[in-house]
Amino acid sequence: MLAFILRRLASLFPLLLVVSFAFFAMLRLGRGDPAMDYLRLAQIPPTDAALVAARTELGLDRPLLVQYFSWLADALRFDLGTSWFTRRPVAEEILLFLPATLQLAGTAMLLTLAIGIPLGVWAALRRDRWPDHLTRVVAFVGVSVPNFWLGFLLVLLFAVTLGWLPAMGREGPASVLLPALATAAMSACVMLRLVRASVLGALGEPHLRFARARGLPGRTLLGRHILLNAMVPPLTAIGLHLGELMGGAMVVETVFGWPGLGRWALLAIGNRDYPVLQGFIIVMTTVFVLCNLLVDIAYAWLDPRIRLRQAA
Amino acid sequence: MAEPMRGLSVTGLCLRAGTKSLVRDVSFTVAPGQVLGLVGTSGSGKSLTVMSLLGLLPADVQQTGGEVRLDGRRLDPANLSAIRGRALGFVQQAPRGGFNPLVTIGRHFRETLACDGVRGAAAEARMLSLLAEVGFAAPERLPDLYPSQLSGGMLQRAMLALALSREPDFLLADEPTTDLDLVVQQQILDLLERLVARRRLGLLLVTHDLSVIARLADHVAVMDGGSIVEEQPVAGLFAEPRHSRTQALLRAHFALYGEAQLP
Amino acid sequence: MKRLLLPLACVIVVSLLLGALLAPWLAPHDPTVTDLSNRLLPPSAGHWLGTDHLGRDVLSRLLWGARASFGAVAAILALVLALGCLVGTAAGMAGGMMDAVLMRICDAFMTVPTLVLALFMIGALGTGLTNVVIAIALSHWAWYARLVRGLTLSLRHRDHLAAARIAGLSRFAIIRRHVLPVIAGQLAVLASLDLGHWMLHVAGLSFLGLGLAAPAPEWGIMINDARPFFRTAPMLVVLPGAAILLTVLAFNLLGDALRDRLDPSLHSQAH
Repeated sequence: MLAFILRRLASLFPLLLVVSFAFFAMLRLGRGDPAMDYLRLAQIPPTDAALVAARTELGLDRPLLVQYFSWLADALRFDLGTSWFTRRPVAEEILLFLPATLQLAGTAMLLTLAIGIPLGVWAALRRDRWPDHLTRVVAFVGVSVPNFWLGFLLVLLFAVTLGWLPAMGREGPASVLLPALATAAMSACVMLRLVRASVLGALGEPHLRFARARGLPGRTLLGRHILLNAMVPPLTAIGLHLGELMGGAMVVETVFGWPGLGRWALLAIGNRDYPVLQGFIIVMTTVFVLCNLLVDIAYAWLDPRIRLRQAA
Repeated sequence: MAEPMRGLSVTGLCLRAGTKSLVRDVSFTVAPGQVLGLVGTSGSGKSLTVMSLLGLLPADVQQTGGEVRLDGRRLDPANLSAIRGRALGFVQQAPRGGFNPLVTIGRHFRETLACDGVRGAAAEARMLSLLAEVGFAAPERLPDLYPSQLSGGMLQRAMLALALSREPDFLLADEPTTDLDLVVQQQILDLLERLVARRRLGLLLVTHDLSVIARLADHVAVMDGGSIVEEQPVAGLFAEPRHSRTQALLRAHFALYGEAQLP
Repeated sequence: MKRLLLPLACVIVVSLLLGALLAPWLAPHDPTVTDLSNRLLPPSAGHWLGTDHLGRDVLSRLLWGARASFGAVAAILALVLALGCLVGTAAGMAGGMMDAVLMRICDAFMTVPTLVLALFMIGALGTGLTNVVIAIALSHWAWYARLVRGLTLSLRHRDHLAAARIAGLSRFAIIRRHVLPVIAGQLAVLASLDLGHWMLHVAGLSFLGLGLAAPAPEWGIMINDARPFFRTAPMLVVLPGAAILLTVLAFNLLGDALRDRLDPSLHSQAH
């Protein structure tokens, strides 16, 4: 198992290398002269002399690959450069804002599972009866709702009308509930349908017939021979959901004034703050890829066929 | 009053899906220590008959008539779950499909033995003796393995051991040797024969393969289109087949294997 | 139930499309003209859905907003299909080094969550609706390239392509005549299920202020504009959101129906 983890971890490096270079190049070749943006953010008049000086200072006069490897060398020491706008180290700012985003996306992931799995199981076990029809309609609407708009509706209901939960900010553990719910709604609905399909698949497995024929009690059948097997496909889908949730959190943060990476990145996008953008994409990608690695490990742990094949 | 008949008897079983009749008026008896072969082509209703004995019919199939008696006692079709595994063991074809791929062999045994309250060390001992009984030379190596680590023949043996783990008096075997290679088929058939003799099991052997019948069965019932069209002792069936379907099955069988397979 | 939903989805999509196309004639008012004496009016005969905080007619803005949304989604669709087919067939037909490089690039694009990637792209390209469209297209094309490459590879070894090659057709002609038609159905299924997703991305990015500039009538912007009046005039937030929901819902229904039609096997897997 350890060898499996190490091998997967090792395979991440070339991927992250390609990704980081692709995005580095995109940023540099994307548009205009970064030196202009640098001077604008530093509030220095863009004279020819200032531009030349800025290019030298930023290393823009060097070949792209050299620039990239210099950035990479720094990045490997957790130095992601300095924001052109705030003049603070990017890594420091990320550490400041990342926890809030991770808390939001993580809570949303838990909500996705806590809503999607039981309702999906319920729908499958009551197939073609009212719970199945109801969850089908809810899921269909749920995947079509804009998350930020749902955020407003939730505030309207739970904060303004009922006064149960705070509408804004990140104070106290309850404040994460509404933004997390808005972020999770779509994923929870997708998860619900996936779990339903997966449980229906497990119900048709031939080993279930043999388990029944041995006279096993209902709870053993449900727990060990239906749900355990039915959880494999949803588990592998968690990785994709995480990506959706991280992206969704970026938008929903704005609605709730949630102090996460979303607002910070938005500022950088508006300012064309290159080091921040570069740091943002690489950190988000790394977090996402690492989470997917965790999912893979959990998958191998759950399904001995994967584990045994990896060991062989 | 007559002494209640020993054995598993089915009388007048009728199954249908919607308006379509699948099994019509099927009756037979399996006596302890005896093997009843149920032969027929696929779609003749033989597997459905077995499933109805276990109360495991597909959702769209209903039992519209007939009753099942176990040693003379009538079984309630709505309450067959108490009988499953305990009185009637079941072995299915394609043994790989019978095991949950995510669960070890040992766990399959433990959960089954736990149905009768056998747990802990007692369960371990029972499991090992069952595995030894079906021919595993080193049974202690099996419990920690996953189904994907066993061959088809090993799984079929393990499945037999599982089916016998709750000490049933009768065993329903649905195509137990299909999908296995010939050598393993012979081993499984030998094993079934030994188990029938040693445990005085009543075995209902469902198959489309007359060589399996010839090897093992005492009586044979031939199913065609949902009905039993002929039933007689195995020697009689091979010597004097009465129904045209039986004759066709025999012709096909001899074309494949030659006359030498006659018992 | 199912039989009723499909015509319903068609009716919704067609009427929204008509509303978007005919907005200049259908809209009762100019969507950008402000009238501060008629702020935050409730629905009336003059303003069916009332007015916003600058006295602009909400119905007119919703109709014009449909125009922006549909236009953006159509442009994304065109870009994604063009890029996906180009890269996918190139990789599939060329094979070797070219294939390997193109697929690594696809991997890079597929490694990052789509909305995060779109945000980064907008950072690289700058804000504005055109760049939002490009960013969303760039964050989704790789899946299409993958699909097209896979189909191209599976087609490449079929007999009729070999025959076409023997008959002396150029590589481009082979792709155009024999590869793309087969791929079209699969692409239609994938794309129809993504339309709603893209619409949500466009709305989300506009809401963040990265798309059209503020006075323009666009659903995401309308929601963002209405935020300060959210508690007093919630309908200003509710209505544009409902428009997005309705449109995405109709797209998804259509996509589902199309998938049932063109690819029944996909349906049984996903449901």
